[in-house]
Amino acid sequence: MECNKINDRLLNEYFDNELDEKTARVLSEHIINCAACGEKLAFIKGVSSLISDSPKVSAPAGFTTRVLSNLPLSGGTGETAPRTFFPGAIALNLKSLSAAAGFLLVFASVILFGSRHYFQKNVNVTFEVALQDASVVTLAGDFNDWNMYNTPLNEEDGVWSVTVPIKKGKYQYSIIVDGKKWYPDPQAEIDVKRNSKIKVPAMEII
Amino acid sequence: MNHSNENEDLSLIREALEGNRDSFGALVDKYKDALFNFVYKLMYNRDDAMDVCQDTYLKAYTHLKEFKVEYKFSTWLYTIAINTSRNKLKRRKFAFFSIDKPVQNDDEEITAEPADTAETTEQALLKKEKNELLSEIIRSLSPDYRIPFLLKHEENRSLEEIAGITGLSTGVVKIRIHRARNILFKKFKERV
Ligand SMILES: [Zn+2]
Repeated sequence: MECNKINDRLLNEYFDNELDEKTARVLSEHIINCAACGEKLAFIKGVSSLISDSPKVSAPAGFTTRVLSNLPLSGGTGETAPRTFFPGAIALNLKSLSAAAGFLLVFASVILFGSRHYFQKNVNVTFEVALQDASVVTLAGDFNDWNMYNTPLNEEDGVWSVTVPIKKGKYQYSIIVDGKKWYPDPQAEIDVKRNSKIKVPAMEII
Repeated sequence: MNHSNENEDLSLIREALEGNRDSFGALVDKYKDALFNFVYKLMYNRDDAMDVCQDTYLKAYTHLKEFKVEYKFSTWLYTIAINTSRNKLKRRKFAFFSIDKPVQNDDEEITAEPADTAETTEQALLKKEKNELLSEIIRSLSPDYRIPFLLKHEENRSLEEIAGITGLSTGVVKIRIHRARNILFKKFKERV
């Protein structure tokens, strides 16, 4: 068999023991005499055993306890009390998160507080953020008393958005993902003067 | 995985659906190490692996009603874990706050084994080098290739199983694995 006939697929299948006996024999005869094929096969073997011999990593101690303590109170049983503003399909139970939320609200108000409202009429502000794997996204800020339950965002194609009428002024806000991860506004503060759209940058855990 | 094992999973799932959290805990216990190992190798970051595994079990629990008897629980779990990891990997790439920050390698975790007094410095160095190589190999592959490649080599799964977990056809799985090896081989050739 000529080397240019040994395509990648054949060599890979040879390594994976997927060839019939006859083809495998022809191939192994070729590989013995062909440096290029020999090198590639040796490489595949090397990488494969490097990975399979690598030490196994165990879940951290207390993992199960941690998972169980984070479960919604009755998510698995379907007795979740629906919150009116979330579609029924969302199974995340906010009740179990409220303790953490309470703490976070205090935290948020200490760290982020300081709104300077002007007493003027409302303008519409749209908040928009791209988040692929979130289940529930809400908005909290000076304009809604930092209440994480007040302002849910709606998802379309991975983009979450909500429009809120607020008075002109300077505000601070956070996006809350799945009721537990708070993302403060990276600009620290927004200045709302007219109807506007705020594109919250894609985010990573802070 | 044998049949009685799957039956055990099914009864645990049934009990969990009836509200028994300990039964769900037993399911967590049963698969946590395998899952954590796999996700860790996929993300190469301990915190991310922890987040993904926790989220995976949370999602499994909240969607437990949708679990179908035709599936294997472990397959279903891996599917959830893979989708969760994929989103995280994608997001990490476009992360706003850490755009210039290289992803931290987490060598400590993988080398943190019980102290082997007989181990020489040379052996320790070799081990460290192997880990670095491994992390480099994994990072050279995009998630599309990385996932089937690791399911094959880290988990030693069949094409059919990988297809079941990823939702791809066995043909596509096979091509992705071949391509992953090619990508790595090319990288290797550029070096030497
Ligand atoms: Zn050849």
